[in-house]
Amino acid sequence: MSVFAGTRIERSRTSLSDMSPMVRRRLVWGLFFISPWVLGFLAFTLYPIAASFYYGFTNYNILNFTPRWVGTENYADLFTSDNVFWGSLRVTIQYVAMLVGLATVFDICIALLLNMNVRGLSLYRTVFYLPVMVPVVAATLTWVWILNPRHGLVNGLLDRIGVDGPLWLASPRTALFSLVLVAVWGSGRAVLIYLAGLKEIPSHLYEAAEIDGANPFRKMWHITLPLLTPQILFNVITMTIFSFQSIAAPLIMTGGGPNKATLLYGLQLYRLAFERLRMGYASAMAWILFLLILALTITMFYGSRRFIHYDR
Amino acid sequence: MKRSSEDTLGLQLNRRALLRLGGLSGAGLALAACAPAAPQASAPSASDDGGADAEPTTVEIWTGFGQGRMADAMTGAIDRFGEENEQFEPNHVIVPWGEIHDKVIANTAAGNPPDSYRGWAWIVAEDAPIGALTDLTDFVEAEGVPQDDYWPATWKQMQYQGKFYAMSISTIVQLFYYNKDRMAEGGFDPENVPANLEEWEEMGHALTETEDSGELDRIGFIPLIPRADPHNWLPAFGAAVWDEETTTVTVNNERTLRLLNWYSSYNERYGAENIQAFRTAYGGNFFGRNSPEGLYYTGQIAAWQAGSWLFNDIGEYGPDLNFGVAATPSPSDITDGHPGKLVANMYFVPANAKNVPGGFAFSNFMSSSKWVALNKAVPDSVTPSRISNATDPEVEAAGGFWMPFARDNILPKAWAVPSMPGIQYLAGQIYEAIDEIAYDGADPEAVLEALSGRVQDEVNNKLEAAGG
Repeated sequence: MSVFAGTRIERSRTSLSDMSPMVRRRLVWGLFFISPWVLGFLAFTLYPIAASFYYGFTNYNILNFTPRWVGTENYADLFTSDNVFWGSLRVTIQYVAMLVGLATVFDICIALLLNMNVRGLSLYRTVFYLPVMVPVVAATLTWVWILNPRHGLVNGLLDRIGVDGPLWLASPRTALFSLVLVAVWGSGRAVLIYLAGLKEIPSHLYEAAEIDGANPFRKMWHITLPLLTPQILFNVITMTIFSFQSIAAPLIMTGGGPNKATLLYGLQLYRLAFERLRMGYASAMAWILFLLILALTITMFYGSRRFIHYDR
Repeated sequence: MKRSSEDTLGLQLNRRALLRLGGLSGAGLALAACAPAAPQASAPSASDDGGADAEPTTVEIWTGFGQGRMADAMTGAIDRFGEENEQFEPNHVIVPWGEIHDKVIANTAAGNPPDSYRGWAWIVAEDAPIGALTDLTDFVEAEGVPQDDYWPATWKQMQYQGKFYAMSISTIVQLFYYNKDRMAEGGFDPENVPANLEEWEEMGHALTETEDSGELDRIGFIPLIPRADPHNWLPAFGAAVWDEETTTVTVNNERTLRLLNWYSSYNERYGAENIQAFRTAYGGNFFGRNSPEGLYYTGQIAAWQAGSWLFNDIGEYGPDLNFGVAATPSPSDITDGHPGKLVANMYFVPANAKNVPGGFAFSNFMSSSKWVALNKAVPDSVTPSRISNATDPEVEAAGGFWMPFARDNILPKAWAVPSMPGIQYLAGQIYEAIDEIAYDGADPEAVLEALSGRVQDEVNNKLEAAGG
């Protein structure tokens, strides 16, 4: 017996022998129909998670079927003697901070524009969502050309207005920011969520504010943004999680260079696992990343409670 | 409304039943994952040849030759193998070069690798110690593969600790390509090429053109373009890398330090960012090797080192280029330097391959056949690994002028990339060291010491994981 929200719920305890043949049949068929998902979950989610936790305490190269147990050595090495690990963590935190900050501002601005009543709105919405539909490899390769320091579109346009464009991906000073720009360009999914949030804000709040003489800025500051905070929190959390795991763009565009300026955590993990076959060490890195993301998510979730407005 | 037990289906029971089912499924999966690997290679026997009535067995072959001249040559070679070996039915699978090794490793771990695949010499030392390759020693001995018909360095690169793990089809040597028109334009005699590295550098600086901003327009010679390629320049500077007997990394020495300082001198002179920008702007597909606009074909690069494979590309995409080739130069005071690196192109039979006799038969065919030398190695502009093929008048006539030059002047003295686990990691570490010195102003001596330690750790880790 358990108590939930003040209501007593009597749980029935039934054994197979107590069931009628029809119920047993229904149970078997029910299990049969969900078995693809259950098997898929066990094979491709639960087992890899459990295995990677175990491998994190071993020296394992995927070909030796008996990984050698090394205890906490991988974790100790990562924290005490692996400068590349710390370097990639620092670069990743910079990347996530820049990306989440810029993308949030950019996406909200775009959502506000797309929430206006102008002609051709459907077309604009489609245009801003298109980057999400483009395969990541095609998009990043295109951006390599767009950001080409000598013949790229961006520097070509800057050159026309007399500005000497930066080296973008070719310089350690601008390479990480270039990756952030590309990621912001592809963040149209968040725009949709903000747009849905904007649509839900009751118009009578704006009408009341207008009667009180509020200007557009005050309406934005006191109505729009506070009532958009649930969407902002959701997008910030999901974007933080995904950007900590970024790998494709740095792998394709820079290979982590120049001078490790774009060596994101995910890329270093990939290299350890699949280029150097240090699966045990890479598994330990993966678990550290998981715990880091978990801690950040919990902190954001609880830290933001005072600022989030769910009531409308 | 009162619910019957039939309606509620009992929560606890459901969980148990589900967990039981899950447990059984999980155990089944775990057992499947732990299933023994495919049978290992057995010693070759007469039955491997297949009887007259035996059905041909499939030999799955992975290469990256997907299109163009080299792909046609590969298809021809595979067809030829099928015709000459009726007991085998070859099946060619094209895998992009950048993915082929990773995919083979993943498939080997899963117990479903190809029977033979095309790779490079460094794979022997990287993969043999971790059990990713089939030991071919018994096959080599049974076949009577003649040692004296292979270049000594190639013969060595086919082995790891005395056992054979690969059959070499051809051997890449590095050539120092120079544009004769650019040399003449700069007032240098293209028929009287520099004798040592200092003279090449002097010419290179004279032919390099930059904007006032430092932006590089035309390259004379900068060793960081196409890329630093430490495996090539380490031997040119006579630097030691590896002691095979003691499995010790010996790269922390005066010669390597000198090499690092030499690379750095170019970053200091032209600016690391300017060089990087040039590479980023133009470096795709080896600076346009498969395009008439390729930088070497248009004269934007006057001299650089690249594999012999570039020779036929020049014929196809830059037929009007007036060029010559030399051996990779060493500094004038270094008398024990090598004319660059030597890397054998190999065919491997991965561990757990289903058709090991077929995989070896194909690998050996590619290594020994004169037809392959003539129709595959020559179009690829690489030297056949068998001396008898490389010196065959027909092969020599079909090859370019570079082949006898490389065969007689470079190949016998070139540095065979050693059988060192972690040899690729070493190259990557030197690239990073060059960047560290250029961008962070790090002390080359300290950088080299740290690098050497990391590479030794990598070697130890690989050997340890392999139980060595």
